[in-house]
Amino acid sequence: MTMGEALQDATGRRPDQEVFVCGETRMTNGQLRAEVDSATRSLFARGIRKGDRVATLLPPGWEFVRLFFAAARLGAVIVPLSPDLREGTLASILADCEPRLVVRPGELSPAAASDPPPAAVQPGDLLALLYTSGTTGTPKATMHTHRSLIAPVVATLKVRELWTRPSSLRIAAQAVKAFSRYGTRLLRAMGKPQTILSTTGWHTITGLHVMLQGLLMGDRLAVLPRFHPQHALELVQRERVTVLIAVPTAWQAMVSMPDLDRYDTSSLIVCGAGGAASPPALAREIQRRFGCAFYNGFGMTEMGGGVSVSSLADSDARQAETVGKPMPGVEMRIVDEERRGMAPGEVGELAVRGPGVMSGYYRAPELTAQVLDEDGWLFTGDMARIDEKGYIHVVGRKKDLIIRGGQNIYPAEIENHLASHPRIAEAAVVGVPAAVGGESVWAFIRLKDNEAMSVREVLDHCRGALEIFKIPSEVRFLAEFPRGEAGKPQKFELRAAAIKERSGGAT
Amino acid sequence: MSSPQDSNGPRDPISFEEFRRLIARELHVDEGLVVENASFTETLYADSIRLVEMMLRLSDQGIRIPLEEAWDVVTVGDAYRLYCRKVGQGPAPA
Repeated sequence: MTMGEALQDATGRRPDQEVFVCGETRMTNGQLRAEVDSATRSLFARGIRKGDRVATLLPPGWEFVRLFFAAARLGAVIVPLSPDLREGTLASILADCEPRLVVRPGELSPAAASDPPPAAVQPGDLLALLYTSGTTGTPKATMHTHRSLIAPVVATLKVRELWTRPSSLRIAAQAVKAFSRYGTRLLRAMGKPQTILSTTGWHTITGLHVMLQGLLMGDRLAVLPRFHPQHALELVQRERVTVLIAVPTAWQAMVSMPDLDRYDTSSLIVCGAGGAASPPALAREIQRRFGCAFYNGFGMTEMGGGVSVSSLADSDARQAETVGKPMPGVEMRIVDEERRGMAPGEVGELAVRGPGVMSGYYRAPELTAQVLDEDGWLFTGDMARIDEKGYIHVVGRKKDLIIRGGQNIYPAEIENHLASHPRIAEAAVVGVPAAVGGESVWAFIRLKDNEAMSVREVLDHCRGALEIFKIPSEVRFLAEFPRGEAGKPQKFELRAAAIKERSGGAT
Repeated sequence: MSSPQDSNGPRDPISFEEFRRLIARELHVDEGLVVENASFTETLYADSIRLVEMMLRLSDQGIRIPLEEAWDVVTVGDAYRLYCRKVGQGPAPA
């Protein structure tokens, strides 16, 4: 099935059902279809044809929805980008993907053109280029087809059948267990369209996945273009949201609100963390404060969405401490350094195979070969173990990656930028556990001989050149780095020193 | 040196001049940029996470700004007004 067909199918079933809420804008399935028809004509009139790249710099909202599906119908390739991208990053991405059109807010006006001829679009055709930070500092795009973006969405429907429409005795038995825990809120939602609240940008895989989940599966999508804890809870109350997905930092903000209890959140069935796993303590706090299930989503841009998920039937501890079990249709295994399978319970790299896995990195076959093998296994770089019951415990990362506020940061990008300063000889950047945002960015700097520099000068070099979330929180100057045999800075030692300093110990 | 809110007696908020000096020091930015209408995001390159980090550090120095309202802070002036309101609410917690 193509994305265009999926939309036709979803909007054709109940044309009068409300499917989209954002601010004052409310749309039914019928209106959604008509808007996408109009946008398709506009794009065609602007010369967009199959295979053309269409980049967007749009916040989550109606403009994005109509453009996304219109581009999909024409067989074009959508490139969703953050509206907050800095000029330098944006320029390098646009040079990489060479879009025929770049759409900013308010730029896609309706066209009076006639309907375009149907485009010959196949499920395996390229649909989206989703950019992520690159390990080398250069943004790289994951290639996703219609199939690889639809498959994870369909899988989430199967996961939700426990409380929407139990399809087997086994599922029904689990549903009974869930009813005993979540009671009336589950009964109220059973068999009805769910209301899913999106709080993250749609240029991220989490945001895009939630958007598609809300629009394509017969549910309703509530949208918050920019996260704000109070506004999110007001929306939950007003729209009777049943599924709320947010990054851990956003969850932290919501559970910290002193007047949280004044909001009616009794409609919530599932709270989910996307972008990064939530610390177990935060997960338990969410379970306690909202009285519903909590899922730690696990996914990567390379996987097209979530690849594992918890269940309402899982214990609170399992929901808080694991990322659940593989989604339907997804295979997982743990491998060693030589990519050989390991025994249950052993810690190794998590490999994933399934219909949501990307086709590869755009115009980067060598980079693709490093993470994707010929049999379709994606080597995630995450270290994990699978317990005897099949639950996945993510224990760390093999690759050099910082996750701050749900945003991936590859230290190399910051290190390369820092090292471009004429007075800096070398830089090493590490992520340090932080009370706010999960991890904070620490930069260790070795200056060239007889040079001096202040923290402000280092940060000024970053400001305006790096995305705001990549600017280091802390800067430390070292006369020499701790080094391994190959002469590379020993980052684990730097990280340990940072943790010690942060906890009040001497450095 | 005692912090501005160490005293248990009636407290006065620190002046805006002092407040902006503290912010400049915490964020390592030129003091001249820290004016009332300066946006934390656009001018001072501090996103919401950095803002909360800064508020936590200021709190350690006795300058308490209600963290739960950090999401509504756009400018330096917003932060100062929140701080003044907090001071006006009575003694800071021990």
